[in-house]
Amino acid sequence: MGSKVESIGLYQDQHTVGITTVDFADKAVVDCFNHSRHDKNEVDYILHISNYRNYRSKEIVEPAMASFIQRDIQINHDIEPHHGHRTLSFDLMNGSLGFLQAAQVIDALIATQRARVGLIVSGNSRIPAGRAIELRIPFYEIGCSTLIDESTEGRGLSAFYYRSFPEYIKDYEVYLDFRDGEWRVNSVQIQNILELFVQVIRTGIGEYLQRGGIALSSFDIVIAPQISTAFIDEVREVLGGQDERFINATAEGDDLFSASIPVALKYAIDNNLAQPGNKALLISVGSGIQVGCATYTF
Amino acid sequence: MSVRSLIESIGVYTPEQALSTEEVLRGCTHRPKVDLEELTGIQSRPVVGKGEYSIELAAKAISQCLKLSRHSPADIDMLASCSISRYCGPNYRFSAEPSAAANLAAQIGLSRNAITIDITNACAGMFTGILLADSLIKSRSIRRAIVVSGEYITHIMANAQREIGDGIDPQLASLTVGDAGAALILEATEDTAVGLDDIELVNLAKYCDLCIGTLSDKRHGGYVMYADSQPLLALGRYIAEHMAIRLKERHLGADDYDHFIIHQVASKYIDFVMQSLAAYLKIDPIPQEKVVDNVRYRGNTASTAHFVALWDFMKQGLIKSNSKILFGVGASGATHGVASCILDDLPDRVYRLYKDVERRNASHEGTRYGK
Repeated sequence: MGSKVESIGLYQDQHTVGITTVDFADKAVVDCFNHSRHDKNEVDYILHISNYRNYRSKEIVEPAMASFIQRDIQINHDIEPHHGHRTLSFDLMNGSLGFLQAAQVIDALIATQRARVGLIVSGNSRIPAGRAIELRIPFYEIGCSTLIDESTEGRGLSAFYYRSFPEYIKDYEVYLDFRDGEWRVNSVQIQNILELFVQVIRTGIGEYLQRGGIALSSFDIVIAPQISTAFIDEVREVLGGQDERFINATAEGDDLFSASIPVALKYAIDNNLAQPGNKALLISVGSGIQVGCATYTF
Repeated sequence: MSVRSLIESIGVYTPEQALSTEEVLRGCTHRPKVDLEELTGIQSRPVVGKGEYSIELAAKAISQCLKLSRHSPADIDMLASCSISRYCGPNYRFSAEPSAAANLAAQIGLSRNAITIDITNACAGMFTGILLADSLIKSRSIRRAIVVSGEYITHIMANAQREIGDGIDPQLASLTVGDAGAALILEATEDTAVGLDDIELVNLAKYCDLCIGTLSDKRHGGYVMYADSQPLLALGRYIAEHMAIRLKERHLGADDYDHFIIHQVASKYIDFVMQSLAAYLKIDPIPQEKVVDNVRYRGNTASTAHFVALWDFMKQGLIKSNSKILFGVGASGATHGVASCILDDLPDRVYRLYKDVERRNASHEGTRYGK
């Protein structure tokens, strides 16, 4: 049994100040179920993947942010052990690779018949004013919710692959600390971080294609990290792909971060760029430095 | 042939330094008017030394785990870091990126193709990591995983000592915590006589506000935990009910298990869950010698608690090879759940290792006293 993306919900708001991670995620989940054939109470697992963890003006360490989303949307939030459907919610964090890893986890939960339906949610909300310092790659504020369910006939997600470059681990760090009586978010990103991302994608994807014995041309679509148009162009150039195969769903110039893959998948579907049976190469890159990739068959 | 996950190795690190409950209470600006030791059964808890943070506790646990294992880091396909506290440096440094798992993988020299994931699910973090690793093992995506947590959480105790007021305070539970690291290696096995044979975790999210860990808004900074302790502890009945339901669904009884390890919060809490389990199963009280209670010198070490207890009991020879263990999981969120496993010869290996260490220490002591 495989797994496929059944529905994608988005929520965008670039104007209202103070929308939290959970607000973005909640609204995206509602949008996701508006387009789904599943009822919300069919969800077995909720995985929240945002690294930024604000809720009601607080940064949350505990519990899992996913539990607030489960409660807000009322997904089996009050089901006692001896009654009906059981849902587990938790957070899985690995920056912009979070989506791919959460998708692999749900794929494994479906393969082992522990799940039929899983939900991946994220809310890329900006860091509260007064705590932020400039990020070299600012991210686009967006809530994203992706429903994954069972698939047959080889459709959906497959062939996940990760490649770490620990020699560059210090080149991209984001952390919170408390100095001079206030909390600060600190960002360490080397000047040429985007060039480094392109370089590691070339190595990682090269290995992926070689291991699979496949060529880039066997993919109908390539979803590179949706950081910017210029970044997608750079990736296309080093991978040697054709322009029209590379999806560009970047919004207003900012990084779609952990929402890159679902936003680009939705863009491809909504714009009729993917037909049944088409294959997409999904690529993520982020801190670590790590590259992740997988194949998606429509 | 189907596979299951075996706990191939375990490693636990607890700091040498300890703080007694009396010392903790004496350090409070406003000493709570409760007998905390009588209430919880906690006499002391391990506390990190200078320069030790969550990531160091996790790294030391992994190092211990690899010593007992047949495998090297290159054999590991996945590392899941499940700490609540991502505290990794001075000034309350709390890492968002890269993941703690990526940092640990880099430190120990894991394969460059290993999956590295951070999981946050409060005190159910390690069991969530086990669930994911087990699913990836069963689906044959990986063969081996390290599931680890390093909990430096006594910093919330330090803040509670400063901030706690008179009467019942939502930070009272922060005075019960201890620091520890725990790591497991899970490995695929086709041997159905050993390994993880059940795991199920559930969230009753309507209770997600009962325990919140967040940043202190006071001038001294740091982290705080606000817990509505009474209703939170009462949720222990769901752990018992969940355990009973899974046993019945699997046509098993309490007699089929050698040991029960409930989340190590307080002795009275463990008793309450075990009494509730017996009531749900309509059986006599489960014999005390089967129930693992390790809080006296450990306190509540959060997501590591079950495995610190398992380690301590194996070290003392109280949990033996081939034992069948039923775990009861409870966490803020509110998560509850159950996990069941049969150990291989791991308890013997832990016991022998510890005895070797004891013998070495004894011989050193002999030399010292001889002088």
